Amino acid sequence: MSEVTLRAENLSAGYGRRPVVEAFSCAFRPGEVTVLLGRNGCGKSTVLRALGGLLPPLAGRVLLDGEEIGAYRPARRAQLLATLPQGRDVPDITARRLVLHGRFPYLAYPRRYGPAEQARAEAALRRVGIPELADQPLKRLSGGQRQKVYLALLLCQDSPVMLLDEPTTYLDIGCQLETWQLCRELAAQGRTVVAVSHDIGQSLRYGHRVLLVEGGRLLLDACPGEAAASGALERAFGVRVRRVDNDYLVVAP
Amino acid sequence: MARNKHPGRAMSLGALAVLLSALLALCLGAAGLTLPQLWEGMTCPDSIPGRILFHVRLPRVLTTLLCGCALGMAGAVLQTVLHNSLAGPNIIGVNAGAGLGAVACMALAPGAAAMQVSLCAFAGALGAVRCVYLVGRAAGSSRLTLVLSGVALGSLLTAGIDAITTFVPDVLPSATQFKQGSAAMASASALPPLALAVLAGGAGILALSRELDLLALGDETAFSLGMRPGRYRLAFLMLACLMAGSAIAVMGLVGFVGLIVPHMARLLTGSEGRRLLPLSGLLGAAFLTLCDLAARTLFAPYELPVGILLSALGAPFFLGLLIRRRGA
Repeated sequence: MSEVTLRAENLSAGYGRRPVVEAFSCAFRPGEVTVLLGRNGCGKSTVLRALGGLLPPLAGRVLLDGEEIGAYRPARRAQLLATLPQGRDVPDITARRLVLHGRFPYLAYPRRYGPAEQARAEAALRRVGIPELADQPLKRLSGGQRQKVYLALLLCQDSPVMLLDEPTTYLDIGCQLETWQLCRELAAQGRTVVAVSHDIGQSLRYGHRVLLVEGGRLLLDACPGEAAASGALERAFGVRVRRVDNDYLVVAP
Repeated sequence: MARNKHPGRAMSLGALAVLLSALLALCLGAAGLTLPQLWEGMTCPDSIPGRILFHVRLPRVLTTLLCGCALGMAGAVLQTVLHNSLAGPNIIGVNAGAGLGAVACMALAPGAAAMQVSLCAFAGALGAVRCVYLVGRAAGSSRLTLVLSGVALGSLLTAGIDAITTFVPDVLPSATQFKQGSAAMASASALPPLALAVLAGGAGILALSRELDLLALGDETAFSLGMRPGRYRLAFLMLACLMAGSAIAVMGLVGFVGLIVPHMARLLTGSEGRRLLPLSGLLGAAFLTLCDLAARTLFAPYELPVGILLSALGAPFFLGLLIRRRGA
């Protein structure tokens, strides 16, 4: 896996002309799972959209492998960076078909999916543990199963940078932990993994780095141990964080 | 639901339906032709069967085939691009927009060539669909928003058509027929621009069928997979409006073909663009031709405008979709 960095420099982003996020600077490194934490509406997803190039920056810039992300051809960008969006549509197709679309950026017109693509889609579905659902229509799957299909799509796209917006919603606790484990594995392969999460305990347990966003600004950028010790998370969410062996327990104040 | 097991079979079925419907529509009518007579007519244009064939039946059958194909494909594209299975061209105001464009062109430039009328219908359709899309996006994500804004815009545009035909009655010799949609106005001179629009629009849509599949995944996923959704959506809306608009310019406000046909096609072949789009074109052609045949023979000697028959079929179908959607 070629190592690709992603960097935000003094980034402002938002909808219309009003910035939701301001002066956000951060470098995301290969081999790490970076978790974005913050309360609802703090601008986490906006950061992720801007990082993925979906939202053009109002000021500052996003550099993917050293080049501005907006300057890439869309297909080339998609080869380097994949996003799992928060709002995931339920199109009227089978799981296999959705996962196959992960190969779209690699194929030249007319983009027919051949045996090589089929094999990659199969492998991705196996990796997330749902090979038996390949030929089920998405509409018949449960929320958690659909979530896994979307994760398989991401794996099939196989980009060195992966941005995941709340990858564990809809999943039961076992699957949530599996998903975090998957993130760690992807990072261990040399990928740059950035995830938005609402679960402080899981973020501290599985992230290599934790970023805290508050009011559209980056408040904290630290490794989990420091982040937990700093007290910033406790102040931001109004909770107490206790360390229990390798895990972190979030309790009422 | 995706039923992709026999894609080839579905396509042959569609082609067969087109051939059969065309053959039936050529033979049946006020003066029926037997198969030997049909052959005589084709080989000898000056015979009586030949005159019936080349002056009456053939222009009409070609018109319904082309218009049906155009409306079927346009409907499939609109439903996919707008993420809304209720988005038939007549439901979201595309037909009314195209109709207003066509009528305005005829009123402002009497004697305008068929090509110019088609282009104005295209512009009207595109204006309507952009309007409905933007209102739908501003008003929220509910699927019914699009339908409701289409209803509002449609009645405004139809009022525009009425206003023009009231002030300039000579524009349309049969304004009612135009508003209902009918193939009785079909003339051979309108065929070349219609055929051109169907060929160009159809080829463009088929060439981009994979991109249409991606658009169906939603903008964020499509973007993440390496395409520009906004740009492609606009391209698809233009192609769909080109096809629907040129059909409306020729046949008037034919409703429901673009709503019903893509649903039939999806049942047969699933929603992958590479199969859904051509099948929608084929089934649309066969469906409109058969409906027109039924409309002009069922109540002979009276000829029903095909639009009335389509509304009788389409409105219950639409209501059925609403109910099923609620249950789903």
